[in-house]
Amino acid sequence: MRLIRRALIPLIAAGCAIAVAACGSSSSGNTSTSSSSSGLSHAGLANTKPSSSQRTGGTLNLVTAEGWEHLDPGASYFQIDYVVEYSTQSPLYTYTPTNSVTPTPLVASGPPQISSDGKTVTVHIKSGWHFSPPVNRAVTSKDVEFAFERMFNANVQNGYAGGYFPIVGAKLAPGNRPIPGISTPNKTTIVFHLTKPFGATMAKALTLPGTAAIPAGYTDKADKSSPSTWDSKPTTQVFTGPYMIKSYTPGQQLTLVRNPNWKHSANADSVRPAYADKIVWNAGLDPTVAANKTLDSTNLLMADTPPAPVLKKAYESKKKQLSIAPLGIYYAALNTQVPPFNNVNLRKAVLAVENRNAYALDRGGKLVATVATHFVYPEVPGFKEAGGNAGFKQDFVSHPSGDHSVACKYMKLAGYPHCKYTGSANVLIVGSNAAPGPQEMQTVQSGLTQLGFKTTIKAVPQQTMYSKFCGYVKAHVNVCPTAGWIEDFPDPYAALFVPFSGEAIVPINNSNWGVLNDPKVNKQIDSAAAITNQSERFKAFAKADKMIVDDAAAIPEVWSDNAELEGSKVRGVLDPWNDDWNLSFSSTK
Amino acid sequence: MSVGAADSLLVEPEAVDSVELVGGEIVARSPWQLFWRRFRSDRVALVSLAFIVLLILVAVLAPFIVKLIGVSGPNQPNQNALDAFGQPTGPSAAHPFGVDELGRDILARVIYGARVSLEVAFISTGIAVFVGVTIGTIAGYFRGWIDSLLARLMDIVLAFPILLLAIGLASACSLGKGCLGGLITPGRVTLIVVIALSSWPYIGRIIRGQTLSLREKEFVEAARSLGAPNTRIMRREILPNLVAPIIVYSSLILPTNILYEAALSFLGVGVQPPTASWGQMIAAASPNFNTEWWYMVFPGVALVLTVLAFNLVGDGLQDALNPKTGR
Repeated sequence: MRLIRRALIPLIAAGCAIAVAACGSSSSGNTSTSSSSSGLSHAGLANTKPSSSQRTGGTLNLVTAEGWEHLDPGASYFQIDYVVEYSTQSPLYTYTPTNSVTPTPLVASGPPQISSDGKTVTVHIKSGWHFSPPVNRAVTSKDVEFAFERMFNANVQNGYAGGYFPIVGAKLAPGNRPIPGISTPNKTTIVFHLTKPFGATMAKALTLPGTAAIPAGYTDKADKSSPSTWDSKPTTQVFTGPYMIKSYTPGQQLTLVRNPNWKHSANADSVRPAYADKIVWNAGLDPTVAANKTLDSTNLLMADTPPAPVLKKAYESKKKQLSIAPLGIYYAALNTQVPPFNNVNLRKAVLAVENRNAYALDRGGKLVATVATHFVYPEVPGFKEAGGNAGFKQDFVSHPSGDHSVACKYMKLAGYPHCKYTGSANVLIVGSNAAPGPQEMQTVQSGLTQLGFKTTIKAVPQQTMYSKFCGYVKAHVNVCPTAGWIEDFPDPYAALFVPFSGEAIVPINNSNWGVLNDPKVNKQIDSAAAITNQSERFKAFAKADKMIVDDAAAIPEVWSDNAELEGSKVRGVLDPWNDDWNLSFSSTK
Repeated sequence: MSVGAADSLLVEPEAVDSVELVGGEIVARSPWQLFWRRFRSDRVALVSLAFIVLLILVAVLAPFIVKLIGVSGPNQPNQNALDAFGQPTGPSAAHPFGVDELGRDILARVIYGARVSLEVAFISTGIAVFVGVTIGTIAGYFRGWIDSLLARLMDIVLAFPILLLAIGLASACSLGKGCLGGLITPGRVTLIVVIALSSWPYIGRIIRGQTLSLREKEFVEAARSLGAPNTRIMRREILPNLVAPIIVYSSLILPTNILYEAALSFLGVGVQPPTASWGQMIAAASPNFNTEWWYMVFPGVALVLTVLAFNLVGDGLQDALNPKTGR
């Protein structure tokens, strides 16, 4: 459940019918939409799957507009931070470029054992893993336990532990302390006792970087500070992945070199090939400059999304250097707690009148965006059960260009007989000031104006939008139209819980931007999370998805894909789950 | 202005200008006649004035003109005018200046943008002149502690980082109902107030200096000795003699304020979307200037021409009203 912080251009789920490898690996989450009507297709784009003929050695060079936020595996919660974490650390499980549906054991030696009541999860770990210098010793279950203790240390500022790991006795508080619900009967076994039958969901969350082993007690001193100082000096951290951080300048430059204690073997890392000897990443570049530079280069990978004009240029003239993979969903959250949108009929009227086709164009057009109809998006398993592209066919989301007559019907139900809002509320719209944020804000404004709402637009940097406005409950922002969501792991729970469950609402850094707290939705999400049978599970989440659409908690804008660029002599391999490059699989040609 | 012929330099220019032969008699010209005679000889200023008049007409008649040209309204998004990547398309028969990223017609937005620029510039200049003339006259006339107080106030305002103030106000007052009970909210009114606030000391200082000189003139002494109250002296004796500097400096503040409006809109603290503003259009166009040149060029050209025209008219007025300062 990471925010999509990149406000540039994503792509549609359209290409799954064509040749986007990432889509093909998803058993139930694929969309079969196509952009052929626009004359655009994903055919002929770069192959971003691993190949047996990739070259070992050399240096991978990356460029981005954005810099990193947290490189402490316990604190990382951002797409490009994950790119670093998945090459420098080793969670218990991982999704791979060829399998983004079932977690593959990484540090674990096999699949997790879930008790029949779903309240106990047991994981066995391999014995061949070692920490990087200066620790050098083998990884034990105590180190994994310590990683969990850190996630519940408030000073580490982990963003997901409370939602995904309902471990008995685990409480978010400052300081590393033992968690009663975790036991380590021997050096290679760790047992989690849960407060609710959550094993099926937790098993998928064991892929998150916070589960990567940290030498027990090693960070205690750093973790006493708030925030923990373990994050601020990443070159002094201890690593379990193929690479170590050699140099780091915040927001500007990062160099990774090989971890001498990492081994590609059956008893250690049997998943990641780690082709490159060195990885050099330059951040903070102008996105247009970075994108053009990558297109013209032989040896660059661009790790964030190119601006639309460069995407167009790449599509038209350098298709082999462009790849497209499913990303997530963008929606305009409507604040359900404060006037005027605490009235569900007013919200439905807004959903009905909005031209959602315009959002698709704001986000880069049909090649990269499909008009959304609900909130379990195409790359999430359970999409088909949630109605696929058509969704649940409520009348207020059935007209992508907007339908004033349907809007009028709901305005009347809301108590506005002339289909125009006559109340005193001024609708505050807050969004990102980077393209396409301003366009999206004006698109939503256009619909609201048709219904007679007075509006104020406030454009701020994307991070400020989340931290000071849309994610700060007391800011009472009415509409957040540039918010996006990508799931933490391929499961509908990860797509719905944080953005739409009332249980996930927190005063600051809140990601339930619509502040939706519908007890029925909360209960449905909770009960669905306890279901182990995949088919039943997806149906239960589809029901929750429908309830959320019925609540009109947000305008579903687009299901979005992500465009990536690479130089002509680089073999970029995409992580379909993180929607970005996997540096342990990418190589030079 | 060009230098006159050698013989005309031998006489006082005002002496030559201020008389006219009518039926063989020498008749004195009125100040207005003198002004107009000098101003119309400045061709560049005349052309600029014509441009400004045309611009004002375009701004006032914007809805009619947009309809006449047959382009869509300034706030009317048109997805069909965007390409498959959602990118704006360039000039065409349907959209002579192209469209922006929402498919809105640039020509219509440039025309409507003139409204915002002129409205903000004229009103803010009007307020600045009123405040500046009032405070400058009072300071210059009364001298002493009042002058010290008001002069320091002008110094403080001039030293104030107005751009930061504008950005701060726009940020702080955009939530809820704004600041001061809704008196300050981001938008046109706040923009006008901020620009006026930053402009009045310039004219205030000029007027103060002129007033300090005028209050010592014989006609003011005469009025004072006849028992005229201070307000009457300021209004009837001093103010009429300040008309020339007021006109000249107003004409110079105007283009500055147009640029100010554009700059604040460029920074995102100007008029609220979707209202068209040249500064805002330039800001929106800047990331993709290399591929969507039309989006920046047309509002940019409109802004440059307008500011240039006001500056040239200002120069012309200065030359016409005060020929001794000939450039």
